[in-house]
Amino acid sequence: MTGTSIEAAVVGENLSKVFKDFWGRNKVKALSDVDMTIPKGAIFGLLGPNGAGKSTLIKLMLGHLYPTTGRLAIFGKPPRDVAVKQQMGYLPERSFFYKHLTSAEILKYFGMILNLSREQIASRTGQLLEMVGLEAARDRMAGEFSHGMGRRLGLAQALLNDPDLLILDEPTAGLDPIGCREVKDLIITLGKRGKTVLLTSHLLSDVEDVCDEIMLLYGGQVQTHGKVGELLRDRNRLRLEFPVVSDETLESALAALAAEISPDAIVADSPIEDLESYFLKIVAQRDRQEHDTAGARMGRGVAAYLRDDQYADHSLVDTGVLDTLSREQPTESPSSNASAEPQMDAAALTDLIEPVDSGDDDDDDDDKIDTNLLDDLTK
Amino acid sequence: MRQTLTIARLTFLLSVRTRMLWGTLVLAAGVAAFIFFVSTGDGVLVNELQLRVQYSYAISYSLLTLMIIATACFTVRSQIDGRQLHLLTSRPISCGRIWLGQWLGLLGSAAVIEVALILTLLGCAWTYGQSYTDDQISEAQSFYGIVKHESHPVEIALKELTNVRIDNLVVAGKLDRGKVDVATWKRNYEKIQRADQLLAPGAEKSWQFDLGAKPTRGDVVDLKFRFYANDSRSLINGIWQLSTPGHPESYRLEFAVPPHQYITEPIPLSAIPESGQFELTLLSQAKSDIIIRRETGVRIYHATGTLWHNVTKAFICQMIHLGVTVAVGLMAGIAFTFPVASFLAIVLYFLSISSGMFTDVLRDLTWGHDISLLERVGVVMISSGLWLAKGLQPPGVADDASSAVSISLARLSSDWLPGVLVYGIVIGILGMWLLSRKELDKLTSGAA
Repeated sequence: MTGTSIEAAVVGENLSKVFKDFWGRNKVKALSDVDMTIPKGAIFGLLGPNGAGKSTLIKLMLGHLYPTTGRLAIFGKPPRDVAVKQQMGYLPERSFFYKHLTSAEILKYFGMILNLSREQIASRTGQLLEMVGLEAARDRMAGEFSHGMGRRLGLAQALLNDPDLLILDEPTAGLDPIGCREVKDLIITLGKRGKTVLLTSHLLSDVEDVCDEIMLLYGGQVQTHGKVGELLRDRNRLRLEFPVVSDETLESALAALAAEISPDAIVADSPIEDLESYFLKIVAQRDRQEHDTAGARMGRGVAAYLRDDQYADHSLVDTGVLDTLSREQPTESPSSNASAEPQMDAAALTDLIEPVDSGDDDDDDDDKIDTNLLDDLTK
Repeated sequence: MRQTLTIARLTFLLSVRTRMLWGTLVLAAGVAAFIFFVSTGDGVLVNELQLRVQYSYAISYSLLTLMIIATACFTVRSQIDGRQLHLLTSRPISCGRIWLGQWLGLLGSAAVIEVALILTLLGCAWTYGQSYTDDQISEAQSFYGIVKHESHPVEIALKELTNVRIDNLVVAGKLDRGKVDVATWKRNYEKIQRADQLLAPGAEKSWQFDLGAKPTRGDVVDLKFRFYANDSRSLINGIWQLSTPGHPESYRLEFAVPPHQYITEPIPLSAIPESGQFELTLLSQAKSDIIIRRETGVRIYHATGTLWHNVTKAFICQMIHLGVTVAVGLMAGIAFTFPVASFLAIVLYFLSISSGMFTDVLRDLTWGHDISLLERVGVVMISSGLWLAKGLQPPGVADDASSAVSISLARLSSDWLPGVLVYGIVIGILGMWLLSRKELDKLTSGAA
């Protein structure tokens, strides 16, 4: 997903931000000597505990705050440059919409601010509301929305101009699992199109799922910065995953391994389906049956204008992963699914073969096993 | 421009949807109607309407101004605190356009309320008139149907005359030049003023009028005058004469009128020369001295337009004023929290509408004696307040509108408009600057 271009979307040099009190005395040093580069086309995760300086950094990028020292450039221009904001989209941490406007009116209003044509506004409003699952709520006032629906509308608003740089502050906070999955799918789709995405989240699994690069802030300072795969890879361990084999085969493989390493160091279990996938299957099936709901529905995939050019002609939106999931039969329960798996000894080898690092950005296809690893194993 | 109009439309739409517009409208119209119907005059329809319209228009407009200031403060402050403005400024639109759009939207709301206020007053007047006889209604219709231009006589320059008198006294050795202080000057000024206003029995006094040109509407011009006398029960006798050299027609009126009351007499238009310049002479046949005040003693009125001309002028002037109040409200709302912003803006407005009183206070503080440090502080504070509030002064249209006197755009353009425009532009630029230059996140209440 990493962009091929080495051009930077965001460059920050020696950024510091100090908040002062009424008398001009330093009160809080929110950022201290932060250097950062977000390459064009990267999906960049900004991590850190509360008060680490993530929001301050985003506010600097949006021009809502000015750096005390240092320089910040978005596509080579200062953040307060009005023109550069035409290339940006922003989803704030909470939905700050006018409560007395409908979702369609809000998108129309922002579309006009973005200088989109009336045709573009009409077309994109329809596609976006469908994408975020709010087409049934297009004439409802934003003040009546739940938090999650507000987030969905916020996401639609942020994507209205098909931005080159999308800033998502806690994009999955308050969303149901369907929404979380859709947002992640969307981020990945945008990344494939070479869009730059900056996101912050306390849900580290979400960040791990989608980000190419992360930067971890603590106390206003950069603690670590780099590609997710490189930062998370444990080079001292291996994990293999394969279909069920006979007990004999498994025992012989374990015996072979035991000759080289202590049996205590071998961990073997059966993979269980994660709760997110299970939940999505159930909801997707009900959604296909057009079960009535007053709330947000499952989105219909990424809006056409936000997808690759090959889909651009299609008036309908890509139904994506969820559609595939909805066609599968749901299992009874996560535990029953686990119980259907092979015996413990088979599962043990499965985990031995698969690498622990699931965020390896060199893998284009999850089903493929790295040949170098296999070579190493067979030596 | 499209972005600005989008913001304006949104601001107007939100004022409708939040019912802020309707609430303000109902309150302003309700207060206007209430004051109209609780006011009482002498029972003559024309006088009743004049008094009721004047009171209700002036008071309800003042209330409207306060509400517009508070609405503007609230609108921008709620968007800053609610962070809608943050979302907006993350889009490609300059803060100047956001400010301008909000200003236009709020001005649109104010225009709707102002129209409703005027319609309420007209409706009240019409409803109230229904209880009167046809003759009185007819008289009121003819009085209000045509608005008249008010012409003041060419006044003598009292200040210059005072200086001449003091020079003469010094030359005559009756006054020491070194002792001519403010109190001396003021005493002499008042003497000249009294002499100018006083007319002894059997004496004559003339006033020069310049109407610009001979009026073209109607058959007459109205002479309106009022005399004061010590004996308030006796009628005052006299003769008005209008004759212009070279003009064949003249006018002469013998009268006996009560003191302290406004009297209106028609002068045939034929007596007015083409130039519009003439001299009006009064021969007093009263038994004692009479006083004819400079400001209100003698006036000439001639028809210049209809009621709707006046309504339109009043609307335009008040919209200009409301534009400035909206700008003040927006600026205060950006700079301060809502309570502080509303308080400051409303104090400024009260200061502006009572500037006459404060100017008098200032004059009394500074005239006649050495002032103490405390008084000096007071003078500085009042002067600063008056300066800050100068451009917020409402246009003086309620009196003219209620008296069916044509609102003089020329007078407003010279006395009121420049100050208001300059003030509005300065406040507008300041508001835009604050929104553009200040860190938006720091403007938010409770922000770090």
